[in-house]
Amino acid sequence: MSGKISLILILGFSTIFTFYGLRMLESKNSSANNFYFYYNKSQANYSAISGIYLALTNINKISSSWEPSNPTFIGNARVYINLTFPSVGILRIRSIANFNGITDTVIVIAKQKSFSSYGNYYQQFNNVWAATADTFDGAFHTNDYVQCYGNPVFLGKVTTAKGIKLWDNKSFPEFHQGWKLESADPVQFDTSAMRLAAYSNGKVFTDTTKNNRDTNLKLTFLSDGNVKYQWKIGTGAWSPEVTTALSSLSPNGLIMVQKGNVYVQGNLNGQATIVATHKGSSSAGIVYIEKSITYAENPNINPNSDDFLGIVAERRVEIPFDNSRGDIDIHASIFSVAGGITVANYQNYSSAYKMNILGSVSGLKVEPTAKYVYNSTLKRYVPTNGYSYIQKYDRRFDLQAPPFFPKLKVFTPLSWYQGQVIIPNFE
Amino acid sequence: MGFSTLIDIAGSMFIGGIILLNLLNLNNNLATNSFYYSNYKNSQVDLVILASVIERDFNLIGYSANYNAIKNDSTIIYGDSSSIRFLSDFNNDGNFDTVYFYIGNVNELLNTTNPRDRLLYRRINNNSPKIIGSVTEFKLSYFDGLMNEIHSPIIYNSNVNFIRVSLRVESSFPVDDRYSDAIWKRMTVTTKNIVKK
Repeated sequence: MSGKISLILILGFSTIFTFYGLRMLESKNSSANNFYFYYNKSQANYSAISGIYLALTNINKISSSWEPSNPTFIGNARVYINLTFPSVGILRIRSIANFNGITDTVIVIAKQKSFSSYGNYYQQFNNVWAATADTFDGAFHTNDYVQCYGNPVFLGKVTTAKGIKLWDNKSFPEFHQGWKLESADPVQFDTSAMRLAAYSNGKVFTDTTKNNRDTNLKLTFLSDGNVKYQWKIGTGAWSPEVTTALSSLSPNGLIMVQKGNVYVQGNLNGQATIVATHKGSSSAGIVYIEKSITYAENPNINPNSDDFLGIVAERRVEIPFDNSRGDIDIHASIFSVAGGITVANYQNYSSAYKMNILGSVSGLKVEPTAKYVYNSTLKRYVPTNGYSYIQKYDRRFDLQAPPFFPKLKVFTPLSWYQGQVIIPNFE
Repeated sequence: MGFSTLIDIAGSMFIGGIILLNLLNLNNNLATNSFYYSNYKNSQVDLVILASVIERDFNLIGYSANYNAIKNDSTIIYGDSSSIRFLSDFNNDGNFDTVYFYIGNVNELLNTTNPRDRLLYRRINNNSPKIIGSVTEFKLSYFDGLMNEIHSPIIYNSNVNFIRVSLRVESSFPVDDRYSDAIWKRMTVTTKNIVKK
């Protein structure tokens, strides 16, 4: 009797254990499956993102005509990469990754950024040092060391291919958004596309006598949308001054001087890019800013201002010596292929003035603009002669640029689309 | 003889009783743990589904299918520790939509025993809000380019570069006075489409 009861008891509890055991096993399996699902989903997503970066690295660093060989294996994920170019300078990359049966898709639109989207972009610092009272706004990049003398201020993110170099132990630069190392992208651009655009719907000034002489152009922008201009070829006389609408002079905004120089000033109402090329002449390819050049609508006051100015000099941009000028305001995005912004004879100025730049500066090298001495009362270096470099980045250049302004060769992601919501399918 | 039999019976009843009580206790524990882990599994599954939705939606902050329309300034209209309103091209048609994530009041879930659970809503433009899950915590933190926290509320054009999202999902009913929970946290879910300043 007691044996039967024992048997019944054992069978009963075995049944109960089996029931609960199976239930707990099912919970455990579902938890594990849930974890595996999230892991696989995440891996598929990361692999798809890796595919994007793989494509960008190959196009930017190896060859702009790189074609993916599909499928590509990233870890244990199978990745398919597809490239299209919806328009010039725009790249669309689609990366589809499959990891353990789960597929995720990432689509990126990348764009060749304009140099104007950097507050400052330099190939090298040379023998020049960023110094006290210099202020750099917007993203700052150099393919060299960032050389600091005293306490220059960098308001935007700083990237450098080599690092930071201080003049001495009295130098304390301020990096408001930090700095980091980043690979070098050379400061170069091809004028041929600009030349085509200038000839087709812009304005080109050149030696019409075909004697290979330098052409000089004076441009004064007016706040009513007009522009006054004069030009001369070689050592000849200046032409009579002509006043016309900017849109009539150059419908696409591009004004090019082939083998010559430009003298620019005024108050721009509209959009223009001025280009001075040298074509081998050592006295050409210079843009001179004799007096302030500003926008008719200041974007600091009206962020919807549609005035944009680009200045592209194949040699350099120069502020000519004028001891009576005082402070100078420059509203423009500046690109100087073989130099930077030069202040001629800066050490001969009787005082220190401000060069207020609203826009961006890109160039081969940083140029000296002022003379500095150490002030033992203030305990820092101060400018005494020439122009302090005070630059404020024009935020509109994050997404817009002056017409036909030079672009970087590299493609930078503009938008990321990861649109799939993958839900686990549990029984 | 009779006395020893009585002792045997008493002894076996005593031992049998102890064994029975142990077995009953074991059964009770098994049942409790089974329900608890089942609840825990459900919380995890709910969390994973919710995290998938949050990841997708937050990754699209500032995104537009029309790359020329991508905004220069901030696309986060408003943000605090438990809600956020931002611009995003939700249906991929090139036009920005306003997306609003927020949690409801605890009183909306009076039918559950959990006093902390609330509904998480998502509203697109002026459409009626949709429930996307039930959470006990939906916490948002905002950071600038140097990873310094920006205190909420965040207003339009704040210098937000990164957002940290934290979710906590609990079971609606307790087992043995214990609510099973699952937590999910992500930093920088959203960085790719935000214009960095």
